[in-house]
Amino acid sequence: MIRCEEILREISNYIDQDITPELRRQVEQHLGGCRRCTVLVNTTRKTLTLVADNYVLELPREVAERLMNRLNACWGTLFIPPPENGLERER
Amino acid sequence: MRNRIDIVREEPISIAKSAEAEGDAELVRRAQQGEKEAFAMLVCRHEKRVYWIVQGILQNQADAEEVLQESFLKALKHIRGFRGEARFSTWLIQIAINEARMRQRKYRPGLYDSLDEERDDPSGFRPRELADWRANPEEAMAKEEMRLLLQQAIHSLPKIYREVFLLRDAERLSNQETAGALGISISATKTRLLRARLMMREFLAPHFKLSWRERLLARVKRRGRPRMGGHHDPL
Ligand SMILES: [Zn+2]
Repeated sequence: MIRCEEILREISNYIDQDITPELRRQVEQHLGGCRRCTVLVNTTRKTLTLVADNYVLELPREVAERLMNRLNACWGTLFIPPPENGLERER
Repeated sequence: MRNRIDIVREEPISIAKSAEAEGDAELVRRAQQGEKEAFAMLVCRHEKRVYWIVQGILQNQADAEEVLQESFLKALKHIRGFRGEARFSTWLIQIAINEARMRQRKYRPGLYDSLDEERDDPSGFRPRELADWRANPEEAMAKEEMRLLLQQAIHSLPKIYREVFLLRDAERLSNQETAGALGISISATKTRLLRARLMMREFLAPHFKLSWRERLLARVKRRGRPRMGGHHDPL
């Protein structure tokens, strides 16, 4: 029977399903009899769901505009064009 | 520690994710030929995540915007050297993280490294918040409030844990991609991720745990009716 400390160490891998079937079986057996670890696993999992559900990416329009402007301004000096005779092409 | 495994296991890449990568590959090819619009498309596709990753690391909007620009300028400069060994997004994130770190060192030296690096051992971490949470924490607060709280939680993590958490659990990169972008081993990624997740949980717990009354009700439900004679309602 594995102990609570080992569950704590494996929580993350367990949630990611990144453990061997044998260890998984042992973890689940432990969870069946240990309320403390069950709460720990469930609330950690819930934490990740909350983050995933609420991670909405927005970019302020001015930030996006300033980025494009800067790239436009720098294109000529930064981008090294491929040789025109096509020597670099694979075929 | 006999059971500890450390094999590299590729996580399944979702169809959407690989379709995105495929589109990127074509755009990269065109950008490499000098097609400005293709590069602009790549920018549109990835500017948000780059901005939020560096914002998450630097926690400062002005710095984040500066690093966002520097990252894409660098990507533009080196786009023709990009050979597609990794996905474009991973390559770009790697550039952005390096830029963010450089900026930290330049403008806020001493604030990070020493403080953070030594805490890389999660074995000492003991969760203290052990009460169960309410079934639907989402219902406890407004959407905006929730987002703010989660942001605070992420910002409360020491830098090395924050980076891993942002890439793995917010951006949903694989362990391997996260390790690659941060320049650390996969096992270090997993170790830090564990600690980061536990710390996140610890931060959020006081906001979501059951009230005293709900806990009591839950306990009664688990153990059946209390033995108090004649009392049908335990409260
Ligand atoms: Zn236990």
